[in-house]
Amino acid sequence: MSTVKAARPEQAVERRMDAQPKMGRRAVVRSVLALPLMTVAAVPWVGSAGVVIRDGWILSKAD
Amino acid sequence: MLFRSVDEYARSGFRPRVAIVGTGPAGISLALRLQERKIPCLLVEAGRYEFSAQSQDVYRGEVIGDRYHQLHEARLRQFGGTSGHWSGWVCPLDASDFEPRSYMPHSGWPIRIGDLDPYSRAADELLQVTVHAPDRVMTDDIDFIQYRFSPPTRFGTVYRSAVEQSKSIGLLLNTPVLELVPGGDNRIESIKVSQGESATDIRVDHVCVCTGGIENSRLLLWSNTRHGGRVVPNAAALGRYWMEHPVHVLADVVTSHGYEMQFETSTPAKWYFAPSDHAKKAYSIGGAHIWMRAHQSDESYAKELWHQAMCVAPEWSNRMLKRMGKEYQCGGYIQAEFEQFPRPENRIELDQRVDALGVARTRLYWAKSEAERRTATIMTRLLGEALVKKDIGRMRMRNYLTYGTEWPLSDQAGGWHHMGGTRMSDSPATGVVDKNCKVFGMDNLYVGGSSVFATGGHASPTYNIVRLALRLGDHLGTKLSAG
Repeated sequence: MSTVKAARPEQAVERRMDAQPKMGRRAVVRSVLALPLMTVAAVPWVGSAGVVIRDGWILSKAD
Repeated sequence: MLFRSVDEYARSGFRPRVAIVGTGPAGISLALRLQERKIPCLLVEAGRYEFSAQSQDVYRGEVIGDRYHQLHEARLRQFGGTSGHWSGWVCPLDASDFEPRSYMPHSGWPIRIGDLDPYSRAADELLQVTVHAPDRVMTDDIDFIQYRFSPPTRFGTVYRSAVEQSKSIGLLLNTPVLELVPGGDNRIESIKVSQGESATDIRVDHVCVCTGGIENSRLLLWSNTRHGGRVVPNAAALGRYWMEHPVHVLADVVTSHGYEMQFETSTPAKWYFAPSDHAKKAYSIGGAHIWMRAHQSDESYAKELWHQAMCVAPEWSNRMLKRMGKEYQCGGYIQAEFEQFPRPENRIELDQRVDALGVARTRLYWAKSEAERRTATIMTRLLGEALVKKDIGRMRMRNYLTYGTEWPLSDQAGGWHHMGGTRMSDSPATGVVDKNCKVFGMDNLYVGGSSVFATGGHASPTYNIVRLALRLGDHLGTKLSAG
């Protein structure tokens, strides 16, 4: 049998319903929070002339 | 028209032209279409109206290969079928999904998107979806595509009354079909159904097997075994080319646009990133739909702050969090459901073990290949580049993609989408059914459902299952009216 933890199908129903994307309730808050943190971390967010990948990060050459 | 038993059905004088095995979205959509075409049909359902653990047990099986869901949890054996726990995602297959792709072996359908488009409006009505907007271009490589959402439609609830009150649709519940019984002249003569301790045959004119993306293969394989290969005479592809939509977290992300890319909150639709047709062809990858999510959408502002901090100042944040004994990940993540290349070695076979009805259980061989890894890696990189170019945010690919290690076991594994096994093809060497969903070599045996998919694209199957079922209804309507 597969290695997934056993559960009743009704629970599977709940998991599947949970899988549906939810409304972006706090998108604005996150956006506001993100901007000062970017500044704090001194990550420049400028238009990219090229893209580089460092340790998995997909960055602008200017980052 | 509900019959309480096979005896009652036999005594009724009702003579259907089509027996439909299974009452999921394919079976019920087909029955309703046949009703419109004035073709009487009989729905034969193994389960009852309500969920039953005993009924579900028949669906237990073994999975060999990648981690996957329990087979008895991944579908429902009751009236309405798996629509009973469907999440409601509605999306058509792409036009390019139907065409042969040079980089994808075994790709290409014998039909094109234009063959299904005439059934879109009727499928919308059956699935109770209303909105539609054209896809948008983000960059040459990345599109915004729209997924619409059904309420979701529970076929067993929404269409129960229509089926019960119909004069041209008969319904037998709690009547498991054990096997299809061939007669002469390449025809199915009857279906053998369980009646508790005994079994009986129901004679049929035409049969359509609509039992789901795993059971369709299982029933045909078992019937073929019982009758010396006379049910599916060309069985080279039977059970094979089985597909899922792998679902994995690809990257972590920080963005100035929020994490749920949902631009039309007033409508039951959401937008997703997807590799464009240009990108799929240029980079030899499959399709996908990709979304951003916050790691936790219901957490406190302080926790959100730490998630954000982990993205932009990971070393400093890690030090601070360790002092507090906490552990957080970067603010949001990128998740995708993507296409699996069709391969004959991903297959359904019959197990040595049997279920309570004496029918061999399912053994599913399923694994992702390097083609899926390539799709996941390249589309992540393309999206990351698009975020940089549009200055929306920055992503960090998960290590398993960057360093080529094993697929993570903590992800969802698959979308509960069972496709292939009785695939549609121009040739019985590579398929089980022809462009009309008729089994090669048989005159009166058809298959409905996602098991006929030749490729799976990235689209959730239900909408396309319904469109195919409606098209099959028209085909049978024309054939049987003429006959």
